[in-house]
Amino acid sequence: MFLILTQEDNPLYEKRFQLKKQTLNSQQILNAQFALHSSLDIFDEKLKTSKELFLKEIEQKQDYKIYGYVTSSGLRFLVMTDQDEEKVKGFCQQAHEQLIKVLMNPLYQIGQPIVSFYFDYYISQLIQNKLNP
Amino acid sequence: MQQQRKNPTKAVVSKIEKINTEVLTLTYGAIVAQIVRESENVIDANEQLEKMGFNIGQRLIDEFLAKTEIKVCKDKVDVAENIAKNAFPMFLGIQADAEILPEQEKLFQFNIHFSDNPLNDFVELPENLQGLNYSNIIAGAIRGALSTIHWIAECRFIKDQLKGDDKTIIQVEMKREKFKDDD
Repeated sequence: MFLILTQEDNPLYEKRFQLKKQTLNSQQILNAQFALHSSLDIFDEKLKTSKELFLKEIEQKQDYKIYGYVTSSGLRFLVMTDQDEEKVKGFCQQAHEQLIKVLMNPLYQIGQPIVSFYFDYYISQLIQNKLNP
Repeated sequence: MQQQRKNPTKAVVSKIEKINTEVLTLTYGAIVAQIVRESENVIDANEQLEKMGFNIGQRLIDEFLAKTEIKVCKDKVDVAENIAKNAFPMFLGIQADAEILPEQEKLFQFNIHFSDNPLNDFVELPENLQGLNYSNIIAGAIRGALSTIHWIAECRFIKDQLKGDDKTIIQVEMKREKFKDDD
């Protein structure tokens, strides 16, 4: 699952995708959302100590890991997957670039949920290529 | 004679002061966003953009004529070519083409088409603004410019790349000459 949040933890974008090993049923999807949001505290702690954009692994559960990434303007990315760190880092950087294009759209109000069709499509492609080979 | 008419473009484009494309794109984007917020509906917003363009065009024509030293246009092909081949590269940096479709032969009408509009960079129309003619300022500018040289014209967008078409096409219809009593 991939989540983009603002500094005040308002969700801007959410995308679910398959993990390597299993598919999730609806109960697990709810748990996944819960797990992601509850890892925000750890996210904040890591943010204080880290100087880089990619915060690496911030939490580990039974089957999967949660990675964090913060943009220069304070937007947070949360990725929940069982892929390796390198791939997730690449994914986050490309997603960041795509996000910049959305932000440059003058008709997009900053702070509103991202409904851009192209962004959605591009993220789906990225997930296909990077996180699910 | 053909050569003389086509060459002015390069000389002219180099004489004009340039501005960074992104600055123009972002500034125009901010203007459109503000107009959209202030207008009640899409039609109002379109009209406002067109009016802005009209005012700009009225003043732009003087600069255009001063820099290109073009003599009087003989026929509508001349007018169309001048707008597309000289004015567009000069003011927007776009390579545009003029065409006259068969059904437009009898009327004083022509189409200007171009791709890669710098005003459209990064822009995506949200669902509630699908009817917005984002670059309506260009249509207004053409209308304004023609108005100052005593031609009443109507310009509208037939196709728009922001709405999914592959090219942007503006249709210009020159209706009649302006008499002293108009506006």
